[in-house]
Amino acid sequence: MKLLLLPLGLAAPACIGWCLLRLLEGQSPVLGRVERWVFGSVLGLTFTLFITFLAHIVFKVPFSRVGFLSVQMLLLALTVLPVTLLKLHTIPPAHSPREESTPRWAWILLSMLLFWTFLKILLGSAMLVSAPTYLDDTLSNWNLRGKLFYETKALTLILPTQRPDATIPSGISSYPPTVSMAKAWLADLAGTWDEGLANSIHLIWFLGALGIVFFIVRRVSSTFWGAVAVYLLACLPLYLIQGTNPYGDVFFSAHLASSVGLLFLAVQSQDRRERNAFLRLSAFATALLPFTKNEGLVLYLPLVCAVLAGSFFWMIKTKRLSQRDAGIALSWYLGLALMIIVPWIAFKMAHDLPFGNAKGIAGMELAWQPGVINAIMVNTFFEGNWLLLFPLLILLFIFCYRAAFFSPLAVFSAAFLLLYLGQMPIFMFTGLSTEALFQTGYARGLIHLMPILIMLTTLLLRDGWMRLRKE
Amino acid sequence: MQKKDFGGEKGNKKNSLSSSESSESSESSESSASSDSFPFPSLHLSHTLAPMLRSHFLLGLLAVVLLAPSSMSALETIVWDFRTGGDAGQWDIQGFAAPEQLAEGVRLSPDPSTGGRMIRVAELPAFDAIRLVFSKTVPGGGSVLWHPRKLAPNLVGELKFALAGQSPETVEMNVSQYADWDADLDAFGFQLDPGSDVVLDRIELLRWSPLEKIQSVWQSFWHFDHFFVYSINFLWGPILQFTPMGEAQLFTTMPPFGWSVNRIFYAILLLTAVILLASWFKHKKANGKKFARMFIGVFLMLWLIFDLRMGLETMSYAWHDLTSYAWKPPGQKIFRNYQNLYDVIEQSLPHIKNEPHFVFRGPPKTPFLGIARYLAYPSTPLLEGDDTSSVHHWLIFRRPDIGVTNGRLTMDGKPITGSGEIIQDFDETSFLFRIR
Repeated sequence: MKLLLLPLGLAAPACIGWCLLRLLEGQSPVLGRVERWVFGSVLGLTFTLFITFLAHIVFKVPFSRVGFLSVQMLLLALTVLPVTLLKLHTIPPAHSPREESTPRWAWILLSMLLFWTFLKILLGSAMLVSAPTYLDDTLSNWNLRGKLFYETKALTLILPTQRPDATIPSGISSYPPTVSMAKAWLADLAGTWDEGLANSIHLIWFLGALGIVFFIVRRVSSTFWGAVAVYLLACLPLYLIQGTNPYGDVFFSAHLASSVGLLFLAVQSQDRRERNAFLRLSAFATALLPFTKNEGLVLYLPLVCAVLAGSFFWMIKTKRLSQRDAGIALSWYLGLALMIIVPWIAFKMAHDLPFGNAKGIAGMELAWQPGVINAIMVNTFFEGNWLLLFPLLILLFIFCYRAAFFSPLAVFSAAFLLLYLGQMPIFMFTGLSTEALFQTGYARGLIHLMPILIMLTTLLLRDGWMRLRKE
Repeated sequence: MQKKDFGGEKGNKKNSLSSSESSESSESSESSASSDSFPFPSLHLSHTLAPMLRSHFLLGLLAVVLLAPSSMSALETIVWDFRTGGDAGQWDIQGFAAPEQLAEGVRLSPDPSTGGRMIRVAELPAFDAIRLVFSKTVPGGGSVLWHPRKLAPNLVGELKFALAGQSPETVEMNVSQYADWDADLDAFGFQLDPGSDVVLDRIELLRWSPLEKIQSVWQSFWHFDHFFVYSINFLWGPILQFTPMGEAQLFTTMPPFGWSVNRIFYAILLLTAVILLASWFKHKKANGKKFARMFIGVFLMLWLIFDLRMGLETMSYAWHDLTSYAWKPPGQKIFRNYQNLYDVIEQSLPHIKNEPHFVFRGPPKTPFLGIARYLAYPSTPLLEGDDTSSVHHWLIFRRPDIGVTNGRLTMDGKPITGSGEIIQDFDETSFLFRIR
């Protein structure tokens, strides 16, 4: 019955997220109401927890029910009020989804596959909320820290895994506390630590990622292709497993998908106001990346910036974006990112917390690591993790190269190739090669990219489908 | 392949296990072991036929498996029986004290410094697996040895096995799955490590018929892994095995033996592409879209099969958790490969959670302490070497070396606590002890 507290615990952060996105859209709303709820639930929760983190370190607001609630109420007031006063909620979105003619058999097949997917998610969810904590990182990080925050009502950095007299924080504490804070908030709400409730939040992030993929794909195609994208993402066995277990990577993937997906919508938009609105939304999602996982700051943010730079260059060159608008958009990206990064980095430095994937990146020696390529090949092409996604993607890159590299879809292609290939040197030349050799970090890196990859795959499939139907 | 002095014909024959009875039966054993004795001759494909047959492999496999009655079993077994009156054949024995013939087999006690080995020099027909049946063992190990005919006499293949120390104990080795395996043998045997002491009942060499192998391929495709800690990082997916023994042993080793089904899928896709491209060229590059659709159809079919297989596996994880843990009452909950650990800790929590510390003793080299720490937090377990004098509760999990003697907790018979009592008994080697 404690699971009923999940929607209650999410209500205020989702509402805050909805209003924040609406404020960022300004006078040109680009998201539909449901779309905004989906993006708002994911991004709003992270933002609310970031402000709670700030309130905790600056004003000593405790991680208690009252502490969490007071921050949420304040944020709610600060976001709902302007939305109401400016009557932003009354302006209907300019966009309505297009519908394309799709053969009946395709709908029937897709419906059957979606039902099959629903069954898998249903059983996976049952496992998520009923199985005890089992996985290493959950036991040493996500849930343990959540329990620690809940019990101590504070952002405690010395973990129970350390000696009681330890004074230097564990490397695990260098991780952004977002996931663990969300669990502590739910426990505070319930008045006790409940495994099922603490883990249930992961289902929201999983469904959030599916929703984000659906709406972004639907926006540029149709409901059918949006649903295809949902099926493709949810049917990937490892993504499904990660989504229905208390792990942090699907959570991160939803944020990365928001950041790059909204940038893609901006690039493909034909309307100046709409494009600027998407850029502001993408700026917000991008800014949150450093407060999700360590990789968000040291790996993905620089690479997303590279994609961003390429996108801006292309939009300016093709006169889709004026230099003035580009300057304003960049200011949004920079301002919002600094708002998150500065306090977070200051906090890390103040407590001597390392940068990197729990293992510090400073002082790593560079040397060729044998066996990595073989391990990567096996994980990517010869296991059950991704079904036949990568052969499919290669074929699509070959046969739909125009769409993949010479259309707005190039944002996704570039993002995937940059973010994927950008990780390779880490595995091939540093001591983090164990993450590939033991098939740990490598697959998680792919999990982060999967929503982007699925959006790209689906839209390339659609491109191929359209070409085949033109006869 | 290891370089070893295999002995063989020119080896030092220290002992010879033979009798008039056994040498007689040895002959029959040899004859039964000849390749002619197998009712299914080897399949020889001509070069021109092979690709076509391979292309129909999967369909054929499906048809044969579906149509074949389950009674069509054709397992061929060569048995060397070491029990009294059995047919063991002729063996070269080195490094064993005089083997003792018992009713239930031959007792072999290897030399304490060099170990011992038994070699049979004979031409053997191809076989897929080996089964060593021991009436009695002590903990130890050994290796199966074989000599491929084409190799130099001093080069042998070696495959290690462990003995748990049971009566009886069976070691099964699906040798055909090893890269070093060469079925064209002229000598076969095994060695036992120093310290081993076994009563060997029989050795079986097994060979399955093509039909049974096809059935194994089909069954291994649907053989699911269980959810382990590694499953959050990778899922092996369907692994094809070619013998029932290999199928039964699937996912019991890291990494599992066998062929990733992706190999077959890629072969099918490649073959489809080649055939369709050839047809397309034959039709003077007309109707390209039709051929593209056909390729997409094949790809979609493989995708759906793969999705069905992996979907069922992921659902089986959840179903297993629900039926073995979530829906079971306390005391009967088993969770994945950690057995009743969670159940034991959960039942102990009312006692230990309200105190700052407790002691947890579980099997070494397991993550169980971390799990106990997490579940009991804010109460924390003390570590080895910590002062335990202020602690009231000791949670013991699966430690046969820890017990209670005269009201005190003892490890290997030595007292480690003051007097107290067991307040909860979970199983034979797990309990919660409270210090008075």
